[in-house]
Amino acid sequence: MQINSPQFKDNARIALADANLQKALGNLKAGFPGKRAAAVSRLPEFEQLRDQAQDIKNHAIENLDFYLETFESKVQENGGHVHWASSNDDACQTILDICRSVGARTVTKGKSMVTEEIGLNEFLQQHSIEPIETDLGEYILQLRNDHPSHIIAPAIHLNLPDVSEVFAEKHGTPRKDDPEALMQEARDVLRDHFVAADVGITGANFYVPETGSTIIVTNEGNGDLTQTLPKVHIVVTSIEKCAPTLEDLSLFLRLLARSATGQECTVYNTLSSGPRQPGDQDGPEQFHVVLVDNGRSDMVGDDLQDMLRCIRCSACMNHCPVYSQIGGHAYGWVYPGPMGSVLTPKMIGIHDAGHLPNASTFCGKCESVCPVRIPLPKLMRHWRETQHQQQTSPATGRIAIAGWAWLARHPRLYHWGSSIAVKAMHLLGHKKGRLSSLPIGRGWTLWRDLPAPQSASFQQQWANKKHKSKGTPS
Amino acid sequence: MSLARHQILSRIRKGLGRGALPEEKQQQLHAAMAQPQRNLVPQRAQAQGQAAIDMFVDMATEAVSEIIHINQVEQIPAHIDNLMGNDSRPLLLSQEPELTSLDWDGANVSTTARLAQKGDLISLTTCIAGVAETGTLVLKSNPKSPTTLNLLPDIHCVLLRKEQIIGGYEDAWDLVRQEKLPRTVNFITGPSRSADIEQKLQMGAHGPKRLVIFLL
Repeated sequence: MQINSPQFKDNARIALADANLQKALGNLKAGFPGKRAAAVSRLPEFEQLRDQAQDIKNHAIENLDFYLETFESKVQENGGHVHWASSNDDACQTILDICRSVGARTVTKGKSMVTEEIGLNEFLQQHSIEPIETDLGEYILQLRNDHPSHIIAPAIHLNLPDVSEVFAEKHGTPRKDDPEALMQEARDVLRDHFVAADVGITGANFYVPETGSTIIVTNEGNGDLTQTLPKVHIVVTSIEKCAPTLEDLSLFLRLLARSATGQECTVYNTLSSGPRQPGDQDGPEQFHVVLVDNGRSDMVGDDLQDMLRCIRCSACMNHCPVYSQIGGHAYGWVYPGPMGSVLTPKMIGIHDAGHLPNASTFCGKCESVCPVRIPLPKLMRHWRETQHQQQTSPATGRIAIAGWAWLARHPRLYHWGSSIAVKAMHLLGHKKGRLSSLPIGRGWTLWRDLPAPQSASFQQQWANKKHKSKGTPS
Repeated sequence: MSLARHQILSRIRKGLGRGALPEEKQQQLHAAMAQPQRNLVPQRAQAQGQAAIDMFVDMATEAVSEIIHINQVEQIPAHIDNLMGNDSRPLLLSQEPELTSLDWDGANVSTTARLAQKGDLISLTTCIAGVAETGTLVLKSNPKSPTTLNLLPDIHCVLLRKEQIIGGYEDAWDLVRQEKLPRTVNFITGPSRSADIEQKLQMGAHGPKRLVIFLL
């Protein structure tokens, strides 16, 4: 996938002015946060479950080598194969080799962000294998030659007419403006693909070392058809998606659906443990798991380790005031929102993704809804510090911070300067109580007014109060 | 790709500041996995008896499953006939004796034992449990009941006995563990759906459009 993260500021500006996008994003704001809150309020133990989930994920990461090896041997016991891939290229090549070994020409795909991350579709197409997305949102995007803008609601940036248009054009059918009719059309078209595909590729929400199983969580049932009908099922997942036991999985399932869509339970939670067994009439004859690293093992033991707990629920972006204004494409790569602002710099480099961790007000909403309590603002701050140390943050910002630091070490000058500035701003904004333009703060005042300060600084007011209270005996 | 395997494991161990786990610690973790400890099980998921049955019915209904209460299994064919209406496509029947032994001819229902395919109308299967906490059915793949029966037909009907209703997911895994692990375990909570177009929920995306539970 093309990386557009360096153009984040331009992307955001365009997104804010895009009326269709703003309309579509309204659906996100009106939906997910309220549904999550309602679901959480119905489960009194939710906060305790979050604590336990955090502990289980930390335990899994601290013993990740053990759990990966155990998972591998269990999959093999079940008659499946495990492939390890350090890089995106390794992962794509491994998948291509499996497809070629069975002479595959078409593959169906369940929704998988890891396959977006490794650029699988483009790679398969380059090698004459046709990947067909089967999740409704992903299918719409594939027809449009578009990419997901959200990790669980991939087509959230589109409106109904966008779908009507592309279906009529690509299917050669009369234009339909009813979502149900459009879904029925996709259902009919994709049925043939499910049956004809040689290989089915899905992601996995978790892998379970206890039983050598992977699990996918979907509402549509497309992932189930993808893995049941073809001869070969390939699971593409990443090394950190570990739920050590089925008991741990139960806990994560309770958190995932509620955090993601606000459902009590997603419609299909499907545990896959190897190829078809003796006597089974259906199911794949081969079961492969591709374990993708792509930089994750470097995060073990470093400042970003907490991010490895992420279960990809999307609660952080659903509640993010920045994401909900600009949508996912502005972030310029696969993972948007707060979790993307932490992960993307690791995966494509801080040089290209530098704007992302800065596109946050640090309101803390993301951390407050994260089911595994990832301190997302702290991790974004980590990247800001890295940029400052590498001197890759904007020079004006670094100079301003250095100036402020110098001033803060000279208290007299600081008080003198701040009292003059406060008075001046108070006078300037006197009539309205706010400032609509500032000589060096245009970036701020372009979009909103700055509240004008009161006539004295906090420290002056404090000193005055103290002085007064001394004068009046209690 | 054994080189990648070596590299990934080495990087993880380097990050953790240790080599491979000592044998003793590995044995400990294996033992913990052999006797998995339950995490906090929400009170709701500990329901039993009539309370669990009531909760199952409420939660399944909320998830848009259709519940048909029956007193005896012999009532099923007439209900199936009703669901089929005038459609002549056959019922896909999973081959458990308690289902195949029913009087299908008497109810004028034609049945077939094959795998499901595109264009099928209706199927009937059993399940191993109903989970009260979310109204979820638990099905295991097995030679008598191909997984496609749960996924491809427009209407999926499931026989659930009240004594099969359990409180939470943990109870379902205990049942699964009693026998050899099947190829797949399906937790199914209602009919297929999608909200991918403008976040408006539509029923019947790729899986069944209706999920009918015969509660015995």
